[in-house]
Amino acid sequence: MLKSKTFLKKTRAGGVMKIVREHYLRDDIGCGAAGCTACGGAHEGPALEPQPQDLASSLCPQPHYLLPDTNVLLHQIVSAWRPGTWASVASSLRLPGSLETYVEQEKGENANDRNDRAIRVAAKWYNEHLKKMSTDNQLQVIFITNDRKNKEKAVEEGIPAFTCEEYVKSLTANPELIDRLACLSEEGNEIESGKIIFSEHLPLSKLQQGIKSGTYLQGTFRASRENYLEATVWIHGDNEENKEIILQGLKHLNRAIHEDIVAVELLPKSQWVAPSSVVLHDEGQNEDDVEKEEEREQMLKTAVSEKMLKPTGRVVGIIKRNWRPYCGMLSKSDIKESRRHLFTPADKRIPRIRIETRQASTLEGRRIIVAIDGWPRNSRYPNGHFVKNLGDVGEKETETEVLLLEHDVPHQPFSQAVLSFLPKMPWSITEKDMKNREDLRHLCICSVDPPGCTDIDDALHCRELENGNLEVGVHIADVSHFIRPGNALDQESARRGTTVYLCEKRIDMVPELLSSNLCSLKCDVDRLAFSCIWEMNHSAEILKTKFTKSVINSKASLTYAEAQLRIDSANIRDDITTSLRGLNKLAKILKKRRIEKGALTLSSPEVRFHMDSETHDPIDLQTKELRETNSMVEEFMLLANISVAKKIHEEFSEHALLRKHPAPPPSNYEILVKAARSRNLEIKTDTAKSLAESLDQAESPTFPYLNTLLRILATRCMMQAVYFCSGMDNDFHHYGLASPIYTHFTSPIRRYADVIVHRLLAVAIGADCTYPELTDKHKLADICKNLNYRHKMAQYAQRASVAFHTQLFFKSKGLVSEEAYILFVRKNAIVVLIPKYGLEGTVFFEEKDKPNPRLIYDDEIPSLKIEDTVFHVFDKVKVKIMLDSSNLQHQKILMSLVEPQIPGISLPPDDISNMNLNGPEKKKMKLEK
Amino acid sequence: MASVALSEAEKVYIMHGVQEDLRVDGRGCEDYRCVEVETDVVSNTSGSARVKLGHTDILVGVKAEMGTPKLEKPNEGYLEFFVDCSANATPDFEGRGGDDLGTEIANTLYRIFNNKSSVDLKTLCISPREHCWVLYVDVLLLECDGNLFDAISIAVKAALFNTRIPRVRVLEDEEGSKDIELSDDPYDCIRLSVENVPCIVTLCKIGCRHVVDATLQEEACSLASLLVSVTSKGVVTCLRKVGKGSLDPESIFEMMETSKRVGKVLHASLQSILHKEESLGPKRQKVGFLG
Repeated sequence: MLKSKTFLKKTRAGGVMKIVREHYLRDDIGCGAAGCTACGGAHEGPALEPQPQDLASSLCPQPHYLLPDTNVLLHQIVSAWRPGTWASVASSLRLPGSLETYVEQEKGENANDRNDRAIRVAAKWYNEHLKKMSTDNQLQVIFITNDRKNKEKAVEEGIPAFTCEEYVKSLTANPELIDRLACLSEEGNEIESGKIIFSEHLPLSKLQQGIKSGTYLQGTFRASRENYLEATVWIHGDNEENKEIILQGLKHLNRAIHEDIVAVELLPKSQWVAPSSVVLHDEGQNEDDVEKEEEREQMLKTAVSEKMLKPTGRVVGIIKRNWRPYCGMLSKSDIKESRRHLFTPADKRIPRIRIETRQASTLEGRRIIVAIDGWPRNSRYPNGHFVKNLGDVGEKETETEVLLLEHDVPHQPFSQAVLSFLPKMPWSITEKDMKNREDLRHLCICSVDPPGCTDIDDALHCRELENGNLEVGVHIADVSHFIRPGNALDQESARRGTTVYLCEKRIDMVPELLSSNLCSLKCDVDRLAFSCIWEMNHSAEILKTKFTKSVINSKASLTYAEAQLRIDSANIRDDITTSLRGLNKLAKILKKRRIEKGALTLSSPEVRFHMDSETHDPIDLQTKELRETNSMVEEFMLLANISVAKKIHEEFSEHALLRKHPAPPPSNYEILVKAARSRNLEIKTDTAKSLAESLDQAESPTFPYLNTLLRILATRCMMQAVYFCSGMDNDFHHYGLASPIYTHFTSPIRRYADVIVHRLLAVAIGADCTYPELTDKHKLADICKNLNYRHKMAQYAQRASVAFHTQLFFKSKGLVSEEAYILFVRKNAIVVLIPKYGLEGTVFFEEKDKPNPRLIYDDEIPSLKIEDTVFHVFDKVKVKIMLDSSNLQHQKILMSLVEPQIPGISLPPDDISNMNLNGPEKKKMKLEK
Repeated sequence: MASVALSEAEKVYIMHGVQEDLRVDGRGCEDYRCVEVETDVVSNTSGSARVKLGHTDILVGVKAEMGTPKLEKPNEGYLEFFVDCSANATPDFEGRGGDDLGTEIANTLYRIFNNKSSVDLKTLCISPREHCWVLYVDVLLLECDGNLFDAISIAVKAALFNTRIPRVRVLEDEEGSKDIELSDDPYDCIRLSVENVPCIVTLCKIGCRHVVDATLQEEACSLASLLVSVTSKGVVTCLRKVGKGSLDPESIFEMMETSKRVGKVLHASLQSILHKEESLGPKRQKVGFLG
């Protein structure tokens, strides 16, 4: 049946437009109840359970379905979703029997009223319909709404209706469900209790007007990690000045939470402040502390010179909340029997959240997830509700889960929809697959990877041609053959963006069947590949480049060590080894040439854990060893990436996906130059080449590790490399690799960027067909944005994982003293690196409960003088490593100085026992004070 | 205009009939043919109406759009007329053939609405000098069977009656920048008062008598006709002679009297039918173009 829907819309130009849409009402949507004959075959989508096995409700003992209204669904679905509880959720979204339940907006009724009425009509329809279905089986539909008027009307119309709270409370079998209800108290209640702390947020229309006229500025709210009373707002837009605005004090922060998009008003210059250097953590437990807060705020406003003052503002309204569920721990209320508790998120930038729970004692000491529901004007903390219990603090699984959640790494198992696009097993190569594909199974191809690698995405070969030249092939797993554009599998991998490697776990980008089997170029099986084959002469000059889809059969899967062994042992002369030797020879030339061009060899202390095979606890740490073969594989991957980048950019100048590495601004290098100067070395930073050369020359015969340290420092000066779409940018240069153009082609199993590059290349050589999104540069730019974000988060998650395992390692190891080098000198601390563990840490010289030592900091050298000892960058020290568990949520490695000896500051080498590192005792000390 | 081939004998027959107050289709000189009116026929307009008079078929759509008031009338909105002579009506209208007639009709419409009383233009003003509603009245000729002007004026009146203009509010902030806010209730709208909207009564001089609502054949017998726009109260707002013949003052007065008399009846019956249609509410079965 055709209905037309008419509505008015304001156009951007300010006009008003009448829009008419045709609505075709379906008459084939069934009720979803199993065994309903009236709706016949009209079943599709999720069906209702024939016998809703509901948790016994004291309000309605007979079996029933629930029909929540839109608001209940919106606010409670996350909190209260449990299989079987909300049986009819799915069918309420698409109201069944739409011909009978269609409701048109009436005069004097607004859109919300209409929706409410529509749901009521549907509930009524359901009840009548179910009655018709079978008389003996008294199924009922219960309408859940939190709107008082709506409920009254429903009861009037004879529909059994309850509020969400009433209903959940009546579920006597599951008392813990009530905790999960989002607490949305009605507006009326809020004003009554307590005094108002915050000023009101302005409505969106006012904010938009203000932003247009320039009175307010729009930006992203970034809370400070160190100080809960301070935040900055990054102003969106091109305007270079005033890019950052400081907000100070609870009232000026005005209930904004990290990552929210807010509107701020600049304060008059007389009220501007400087960013305080005080570290402040919110420890209050009571609501009435507002006066105290004000005192604290005053404390922040220390006298500072005028130059330090920064634009200061206050939040006038929220444009978009960016709340997510937060991980953290419960701080149990001091009052016994209290149901209201504060929740401390793991992320220090998120304020504490008040939640209501009856299971505080069981949740204590666990990592839990809490969602924010709202922040009323009279409340010191936002209100939230408990969502999930992750497990005990310190448990490996719990902590891994937390770090994945906190870094926004999608790690759920792949959905059925995604898995449905996997090839059916047993899989084999068919005739159809061979179309546009070259058969390279006869070639002597092998792969070289780290030990234990199951997702092998690259393999190599090298052979001598009849004309005396060398043919070198890089064969990459043909992932784009399996992941077809646009399907659920593609969307999911695009969302994940990258495989995340944690210390003992791998979060795959594509399902395991692909990553570890069909796409993994294992030896002695036929695999589909995308090959890049060069003809080179013996001085590694490329004569010809060819790209082709292919079928390969790898002859060996080697580890770096195995490959190295083969190359080094003169008596092995088989095909694989000759091939490897050829590759190695060419790689050396390539590398030399690359370095001549100014490519940087940087260094970062990479650590690898030796895991106990049973407990998966780290037993030992080891820095990664680099062999010739590592660099051999790397060299050819770089070459393939560059060749492919050239090709796709040639073919698609506007929408090639490339990777660039911007040159860092000269100021970034300051720290490196100064540090080197203190050792009488000169580092030139004007070009990448001069940097590389000066790094090479910076050797000290008495201090062999110095060069590595310098390279580590240089790495810190670099910018992030990013993906971008060639049509959206004109600077393609890759600074670190000294290549004018670069992309990622060689790891499609673990990076989505490579999948796109594969598709582009396949289109370019005519091996595959294109699709509209591939040639849409805005879509591509969006993909790049997501990929860059995912890569960054994956890196952070990896680091967090390493840090956690380092902690576990030192927990089992106890206290150790190790040699370390100073990396940075700060005003009140030194940052040291322990080469043995690749571990970096900070040694503080100011402690809360101790008198401050005399510190003189010199920014120019840079150096720090403590009492009579002077510390320079790269100085060798000895530190003691221990685990600080005083804060359960943020356990950290603590380092203190052992050598050189400074009385009163460094620890005597043997005096360890009187150190008190246990949290509770420390707290006690504070109380006594 | 659409022409019809008529022999001398036929013309004499018609003229003699009119002389006796008996027309070819059995009507008297002051009788209209049956008028069919339906409003709200085009859903994406602000108001629309379709009028059938004999075989004359007119569709009028009114579209309300935001505009700026004219300089000389800063606190009034205004109406714009456009007449499209579809080639469906007669092959003569093909290409640009209907343009002259269209302009002529549009100009006539401008003239009859060019007074303070017909439509209260002040209700169309949103904010003086800045925003007002402009009503674009689009007339589409679907079929011609004589008496175009009358049929069009009836259709315009019906469409204006049907017009619903969304209610908007002007929000002003401290700096004086204005923003327009649209009411989100689709039933919240402005209606125009069509009380004083005139209708045209065309009188065709045939022989020494005059007839209202002439058919195409009768028009062919007439040398001169008089367009009189009359309001429901019998006030004449505009007078125009068309045709190549001349009229003596005596008969002009006579014709004006007739038009006032006929016009009042016409308005009364139109008004009552429009109200009756509206009282059926949104559930009314629409006839539209398939009826």
